[in-house]
Amino acid sequence: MLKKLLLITLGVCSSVLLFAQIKVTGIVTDADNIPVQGVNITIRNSTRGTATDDKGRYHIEAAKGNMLEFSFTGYLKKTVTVENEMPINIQLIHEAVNLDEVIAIGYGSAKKSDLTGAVTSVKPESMKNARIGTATSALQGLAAGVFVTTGSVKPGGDATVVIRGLGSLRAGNAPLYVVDGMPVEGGLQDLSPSDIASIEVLKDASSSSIYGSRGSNGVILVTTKKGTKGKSRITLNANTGVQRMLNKQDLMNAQQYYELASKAVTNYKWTSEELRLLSRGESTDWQDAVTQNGRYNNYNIAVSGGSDKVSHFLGADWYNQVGTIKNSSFNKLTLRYNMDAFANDWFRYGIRFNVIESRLKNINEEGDSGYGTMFSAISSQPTAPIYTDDGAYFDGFLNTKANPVAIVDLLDRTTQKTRAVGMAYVEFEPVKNVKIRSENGAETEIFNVNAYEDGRMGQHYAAGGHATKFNGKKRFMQTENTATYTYHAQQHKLSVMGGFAASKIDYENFTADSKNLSSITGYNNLGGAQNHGPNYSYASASTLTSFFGRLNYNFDERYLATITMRGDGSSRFAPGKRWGFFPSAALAWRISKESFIDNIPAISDLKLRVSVGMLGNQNIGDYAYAATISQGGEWADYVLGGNLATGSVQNTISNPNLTWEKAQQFDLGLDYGFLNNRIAGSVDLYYKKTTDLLWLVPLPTESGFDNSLTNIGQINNKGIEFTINTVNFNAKDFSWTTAFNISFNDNRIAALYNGKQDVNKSLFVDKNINTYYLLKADGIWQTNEATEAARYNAVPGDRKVLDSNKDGVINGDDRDFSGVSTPKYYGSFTNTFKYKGIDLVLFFTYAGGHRINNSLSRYMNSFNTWGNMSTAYYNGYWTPQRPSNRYPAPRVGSPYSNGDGTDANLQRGDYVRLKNIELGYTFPSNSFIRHIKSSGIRIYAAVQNSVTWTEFTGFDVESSDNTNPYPNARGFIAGLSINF
Amino acid sequence: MKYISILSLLLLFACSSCEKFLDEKPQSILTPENAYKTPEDWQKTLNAAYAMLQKVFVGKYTITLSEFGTDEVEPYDLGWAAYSELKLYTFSASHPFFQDHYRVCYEGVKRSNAVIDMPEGVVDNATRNVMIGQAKFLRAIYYFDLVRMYGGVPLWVKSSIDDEIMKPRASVEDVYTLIAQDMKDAEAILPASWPNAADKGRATTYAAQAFLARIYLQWNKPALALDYCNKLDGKFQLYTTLKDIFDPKNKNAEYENIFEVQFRHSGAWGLEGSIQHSYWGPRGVGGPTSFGGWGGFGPTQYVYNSFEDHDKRRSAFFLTSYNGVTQSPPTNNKFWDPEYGNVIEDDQLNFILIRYADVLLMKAEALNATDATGNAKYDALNQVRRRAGLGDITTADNLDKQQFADVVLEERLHELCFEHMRRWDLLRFGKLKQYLEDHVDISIRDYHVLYPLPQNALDANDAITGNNPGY
Repeated sequence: MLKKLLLITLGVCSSVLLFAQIKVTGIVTDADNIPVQGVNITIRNSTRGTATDDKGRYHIEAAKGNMLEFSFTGYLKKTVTVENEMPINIQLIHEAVNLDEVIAIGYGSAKKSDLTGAVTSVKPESMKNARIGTATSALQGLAAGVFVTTGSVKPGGDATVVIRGLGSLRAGNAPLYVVDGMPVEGGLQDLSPSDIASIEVLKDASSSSIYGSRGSNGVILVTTKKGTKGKSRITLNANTGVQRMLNKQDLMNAQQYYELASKAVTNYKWTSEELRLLSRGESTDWQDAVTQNGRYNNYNIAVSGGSDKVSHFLGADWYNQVGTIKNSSFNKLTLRYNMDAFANDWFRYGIRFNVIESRLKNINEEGDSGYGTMFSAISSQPTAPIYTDDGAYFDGFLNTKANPVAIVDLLDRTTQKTRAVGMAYVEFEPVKNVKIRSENGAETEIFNVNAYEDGRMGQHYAAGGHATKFNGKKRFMQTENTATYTYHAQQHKLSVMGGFAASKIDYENFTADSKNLSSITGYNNLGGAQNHGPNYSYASASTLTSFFGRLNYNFDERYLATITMRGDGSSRFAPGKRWGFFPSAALAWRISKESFIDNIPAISDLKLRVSVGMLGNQNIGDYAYAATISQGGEWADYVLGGNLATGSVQNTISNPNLTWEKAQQFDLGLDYGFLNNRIAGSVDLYYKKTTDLLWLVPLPTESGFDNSLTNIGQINNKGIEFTINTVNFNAKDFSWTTAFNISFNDNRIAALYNGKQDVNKSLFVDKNINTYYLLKADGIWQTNEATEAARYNAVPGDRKVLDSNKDGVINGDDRDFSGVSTPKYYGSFTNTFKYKGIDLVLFFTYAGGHRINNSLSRYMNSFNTWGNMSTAYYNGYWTPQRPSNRYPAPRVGSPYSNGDGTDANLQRGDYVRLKNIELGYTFPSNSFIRHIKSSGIRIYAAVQNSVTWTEFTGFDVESSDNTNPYPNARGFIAGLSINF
Repeated sequence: MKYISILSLLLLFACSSCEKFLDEKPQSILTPENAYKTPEDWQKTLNAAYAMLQKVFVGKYTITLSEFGTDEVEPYDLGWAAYSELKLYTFSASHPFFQDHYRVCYEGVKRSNAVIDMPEGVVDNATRNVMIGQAKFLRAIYYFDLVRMYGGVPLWVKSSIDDEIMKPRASVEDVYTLIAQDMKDAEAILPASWPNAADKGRATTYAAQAFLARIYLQWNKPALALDYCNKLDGKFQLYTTLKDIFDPKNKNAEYENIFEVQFRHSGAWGLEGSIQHSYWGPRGVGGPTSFGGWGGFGPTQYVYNSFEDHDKRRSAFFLTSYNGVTQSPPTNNKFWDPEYGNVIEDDQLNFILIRYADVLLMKAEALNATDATGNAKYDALNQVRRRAGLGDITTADNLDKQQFADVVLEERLHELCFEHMRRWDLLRFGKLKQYLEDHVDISIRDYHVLYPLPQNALDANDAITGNNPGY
């Protein structure tokens, strides 16, 4: 009875509630928890609705059980049922593509939906996956067709970027970087990632040809943040972390080393210090001795705001990293001020101003990496003590190697860079639809490398100390002026832009070198040294003038066309050969706007693009066309009467016909969006043909000239890029999005010169330009093969090398192709989860299809009279009783034992790396944060490089120097970001 | 419309100033238009022609190219293919050392040609002639090294590269003819000695004569070689103490040593210092900074054992132990710099390219080859033997022509070992194949008397139709 009564009461109550109108309130934010103004809120199946105010707040009368629909351009629609819980706060997430986004295209901007070229926008928030490192390295995996390798993970080390394959042998493969209209040499390393509003990668001929002679390797356009009208915003970001070295190499200890060295080298001379260390049963772990846990912190503050007349952005960023190798560090201070003023309704002006000051303490990376910090640590014998009994650095290393601990204690090699970049623009609209804009900018960079090598570092170094000062200065000036006319009538949209530009770079440097000087004043008082010189200085200048234009035509939002043209004149070529012209054209068809597609609801966007055009590369250095006569240097100088006799030599012959490298590119692309753009992405096919390669064609050796810089040969790059972004889940409190991209590139030399190969440089027609051409190692000669081995002057236990041409001798004629060093495919995979205030990102990068020459293996995995070897070698080297097929016997003079010239040290380079995991929590706006007047606080923790799956055994699968690498590290990061 | 005309005006202005704006002249390098204006410019050009002597005879690759693959010197580290291939004669035309050697020889030819083609008017005529004489001396040395290594090679005798740049191989005879003519031109104009201390190290007429003897002998013209040996009679003497020959204190003393490739300690490797101590120094003692060497190569046990026990040269030219570390095989001790030998690749040692002891032995060889009668050939030979503390060889020993030649060859090995002579001596005496088999158990083919032309030189010159037979 009681039960029944209860049920009735409940029923009545609920029916009352069901029909009663209640006041629903809440806040709508975007994925970054920034309130969104103007979000439309409607009640399904009714006409009632409202919109959010400037703080993202809304209120609406609704009944329980009503369905509220939240919609805003570029965001996925979210539907929520009204329940008891109040307020209803909504976080909107982006569609997998935002077609209304306005993106930079160089000398202008365009809506994404209007693009005809292959342009990838990189979202600056994805760059947070690489908090430790530079903005260039943070581009890794963020755009298909853009291959980023970290090269060196040392503090301050930058990454290299190659867009759509290597197209040049000599003129460089780096893309053109343009930050707020100013070209930047050497990547984005100086830029604070927090200042970046957007990055666009121009990949095809149509989009890049507006940069003409500098566009053949693609263009990366960076736009920095501006202030917006309305309330001032202050953002504070702080994060800090530790780094732990990865892939420490497993090396023999002192006892194992003693045993092996005594066995293999009869006259090995043990120093008394080594024997004492051995008698104590100790061993020196040199890797531990030179490494430590790295530390890192990054603080950033940004203030922005604006009125109807002026908007401004001020950013300051401090980045500080202490490396995993002792005494290596990097810090950088970046200041930026951007201002835009609207003088009246037809006149605007503004500035972009950026100052960077950085300081890098480097590990020892001198030309001969055999003396480098990390190589010394790996190769030093474990029997050697760090210090001798009297406290001095032990200096009895094999073959003049330095004491690794002395290097990290004493080497002072500091690079300081100061850069100031400023640009001011004026823009006016003299008549309706015509905009004239003039941008004028300048940059000064001062670059200092101070080094002091203390004599105590070891035998390799000058006993009395050696100091050098390098000072370089770059001055750059540029003016760019454009006029843009837009016309819009019914179905026709037309925009025409034309402009001219001129720029000049002056560069100068000098090196001062002194020996035998006070270790206290070091490079700060070269005057106090006993010996001076050799000193060097150099200066050069180059200029570029250009005319360019672009026509965009859009018919009925269905048919789009772009024609671009640039003419460049460069001082780098001889008179008469200075001008190059770089045209391109593109067409796009928005299939989804056609009536026959319009009514297929699953298809939200479909656009077919095709483009073709020509680009150039003038990056060959200055005066390359001229015959040059150099004076001085060991190659030219002699000694007469015991004194230096300066020599003068003609080193190059002139080539007045020298001209640009030309890259012709064809691109076919498809942009797609399905299910209200919950699934979106693009596919691009490209074919890039680089001709007139700037290449050093060998001259007959008898001429005394090595080669002549000539336009010859051809390289083809073909590839496929595939990108897919999906919103897998979009519930009220939970969302899951995925981004995946993969790029395949096939690189081939199509022609060199006169149908020839260049075996010396490992360049072969119809092969990848990074092809290995080596002898084939085939394991180890075994006891039962002694007779055959003897034919090749080998004995069992030596490395077996294939006599491919069966002529009875092993030499260069037995070489064969052994894979390539550039990955055949690469990409990334990102998963982002959000649950209420919690967010989780998993970011993977991968590459594969290539082989890496693990040059450390040369020393570690064969008997090496010059230093330590791996534990694997100790446990596995060949003996008649223990026939290894991998590790040659420890015999001095064993041919090919270290694998040089063979493929023995090549390893598969394929890898998948969980580059970043980040877990964050954003406090709701109605929590305590109100009391400190904050509009948002997020805390987070991240792990960088948590797992890498690879067969490669060296320090880092991405490292470019494997002999003296900087070990990669796992970073543990915690951070806080506050908005006011 | 107004704006368009303003814009056009702007463009016009920009265009006209463009070409001027695009003119940038090199600031840190010279061009042919401004590099040869003064006598000093030409002296520097000549200095650079001399500079290649350092690379051809004491380069990192070329240092022992005439000694690897003989019974005198061997690489110890066969793990480096480039070394072991030279020892075992398994090299191909792509061997990097040939490429490097060929390249630096022709670099020297190019630099010499630049001076030989010096226009009149910048340098006074007398000086100009002597400069051209030095350049011809150098060109002859570079071509001589080429012809004995590779046989007939293309001849470049002009500095201009506007003619046909693909030149075919000349015959061995033609190359030697040019070499002999250049050397004779040099002999005619060069001074016997340079009076100015600052000029020490330049070519002299005596150096040209000594080289003519060496050239004619290798060219199998012993009678002509003899003439030039005779011209040097009494012009030089032998040091009594063997160590004095190579002591850096005696650089350019013109006592026994006739022509030296010049080096000087420079404070850092890769400048004007020599690498000889670092490359030849004793092994297992801690490397160059402990007066040791890299240990990559050194004497064979054979050469050490071939000395008679009381031959003073064995103890003077070899180290059997250093700092308590036994040297087995013993180390070459000719190139020892007591002052800077412990600096990596930056010692003070000159390389003695030709010296009087060599001239005496050449004289004995030439006399024997021309069937000269009398005691002259014994005298020449015995001057060298006496200094080594060995007894005279006389007619009483009853040596026939071949036997005397064998004695001379043995004497050359003991006197001139490690001075880049052995391969050429063995070839000249026709003993390369036999001695390699007998002394170091390496069998070679007949065609190994010539090295192959480097593959990259073949690739870059279509006028060279084929390599030496066998390659």
